[in-house]
Amino acid sequence: MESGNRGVSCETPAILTWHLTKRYGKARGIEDVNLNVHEGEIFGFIGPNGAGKSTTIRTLLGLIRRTSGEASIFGLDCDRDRTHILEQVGYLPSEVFYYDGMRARDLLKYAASFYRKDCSARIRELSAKLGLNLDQKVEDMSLGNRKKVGIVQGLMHSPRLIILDEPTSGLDPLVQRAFFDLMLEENRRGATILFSSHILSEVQRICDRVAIIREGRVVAVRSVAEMRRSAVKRVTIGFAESSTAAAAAVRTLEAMPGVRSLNADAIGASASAGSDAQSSGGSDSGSGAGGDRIASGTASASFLYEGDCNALIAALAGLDLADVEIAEPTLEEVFMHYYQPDGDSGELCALDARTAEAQNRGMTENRGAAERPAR
Amino acid sequence: MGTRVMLAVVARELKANAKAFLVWAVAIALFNVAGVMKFEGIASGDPEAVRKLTDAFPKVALAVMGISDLDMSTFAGYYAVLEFYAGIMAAVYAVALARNAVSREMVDGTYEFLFVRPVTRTRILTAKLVAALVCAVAFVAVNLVSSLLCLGLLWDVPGLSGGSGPNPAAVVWRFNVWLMALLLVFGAIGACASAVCPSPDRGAAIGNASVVVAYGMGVVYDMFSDHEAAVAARVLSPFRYATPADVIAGSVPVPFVALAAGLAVAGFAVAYVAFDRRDLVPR
Repeated sequence: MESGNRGVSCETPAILTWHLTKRYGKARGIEDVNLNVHEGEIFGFIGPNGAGKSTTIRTLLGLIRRTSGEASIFGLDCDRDRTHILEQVGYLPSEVFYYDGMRARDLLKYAASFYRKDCSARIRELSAKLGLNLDQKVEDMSLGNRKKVGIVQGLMHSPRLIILDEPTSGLDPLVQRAFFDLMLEENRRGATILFSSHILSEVQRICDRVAIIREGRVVAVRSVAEMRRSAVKRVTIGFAESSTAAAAAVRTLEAMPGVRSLNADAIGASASAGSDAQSSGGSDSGSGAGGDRIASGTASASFLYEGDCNALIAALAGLDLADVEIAEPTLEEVFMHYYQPDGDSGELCALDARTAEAQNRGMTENRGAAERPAR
Repeated sequence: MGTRVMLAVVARELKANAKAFLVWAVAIALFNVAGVMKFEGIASGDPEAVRKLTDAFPKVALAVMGISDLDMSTFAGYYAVLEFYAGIMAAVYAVALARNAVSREMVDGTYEFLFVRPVTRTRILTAKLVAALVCAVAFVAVNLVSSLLCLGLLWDVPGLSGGSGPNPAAVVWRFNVWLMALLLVFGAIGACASAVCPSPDRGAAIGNASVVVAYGMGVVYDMFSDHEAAVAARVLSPFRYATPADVIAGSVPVPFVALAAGLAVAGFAVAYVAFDRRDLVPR
């Protein structure tokens, strides 16, 4: 899972997990999580609530004990060398709870007492930057101000690794901006950042790479730039008459490798036909979202395409279309694809493998897809 | 740096314990003042009448009230009954202290603040248990001082000073040593239960159940005239490891003191191991 854009170096990774697994009694934990976060990187960790982001983070921090697998930070084992690791780690939990009756100043002083460094200058600097009143009691603070206290306590000892679990929830846009600037500044200083979120736009904003976690498993690790720029396209086609031509076109597309999340609109017959076509090498139909509605009497279809664009154009050329739009998918769409709850997991694994390979080879290996042009 | 960190945690913990401690301290002090001062009424009456009154109760009732085998007309016997109740309070307080030491951070959600610092869990738990111990010692101190102060006010009560039997002040001291031992034993049980149980509520419930069981077994033990036959009940009741007669006389029942020490050591040891291994998760 090396990223292509950074060059593989032999330095110890900031975070390395190998088949990291945590199972709780009933609740889902995480399964076989493999991560490799390079030092100096801003690494996004994205997935819906309950996918296992916090579980992974808490395992890394030694709050919970892994069931199996390995986890290390800066080459030190997360369980055995916990205290050494934590000297160099700053953590901002998703929900910030603090002790009753403590002023922000006292709380930060308490937190600072655990480190060898003198943090008082940093505390002053950070709170000035965030506009935080240190004399207010934490329990009287708004959620946003509490988060600020959380940010200060996470950064005050100038950690080499900063772990943020849903850091922006509850922050207003202005503070969010200050927060992101602060993170980029820390990153320039040399800090590695692990940033967990379920909001793609904010990950997109600062992260270099992102791991997508779904139901306790990492389904893909990609660079953010590549994720948007890669061969994945959102293709929307319109048909003049909604009858047989459209149905035939949908069947053709379903059979085509690299086509995913195909949604056909106003084509009654093929919508149901699509659901049993999942094994046909990559098509994945009928998520129920529905395509864009065009004027009545016409039909449209929309899908994600990943692969050689010549094959796509060749396939489209064989169709009788009224309209076509090929656009860059939003990250949301890409993400939704990885996180389709009823998606075929075999396909996702294959995709993951392909992704990893593609990252090394620059996304050119999907040639195989082109060998089967549209009939 | 180790001790500085520990002291910071202890101070933080003492602050968190302060409010509950005040309530307990006031309660035990008032209980002592009311209880010890009432002895004036008993002592000024006819001792024979008091004995007759207590003899009139069925044995079960006496056992339930903790009056078995005690001569309520003497200060020692009377104070033994008072301290039986103080002992139950102490046991409940000990379980609460231990539960707070082990799982308060998880309940309050502050564990994600504290347990991501570069300190071992063992150190943090030690600091928290030290703070709990300070509260326990202070609780006994309040009990001791309030008892001795009240005793001082009773100096003119007939049959208290002079006369036969042990020195009342010595009896007070001995019962407070007993109380301290009880706090340690139940603290260990409470810490163990809270550390082992994933749910703090369940941990506290088990700790409190141990107090109820100990009390019940104490009653069973008291009901048997032939105490040797009820040794099993005694083993299950830390309240009776040293009987009131033992404490009044200042005698040390070695096997049971050893049992108490063993329970305390084992309880805290298991608590440490379980706490180190457990998952720290919100509750």
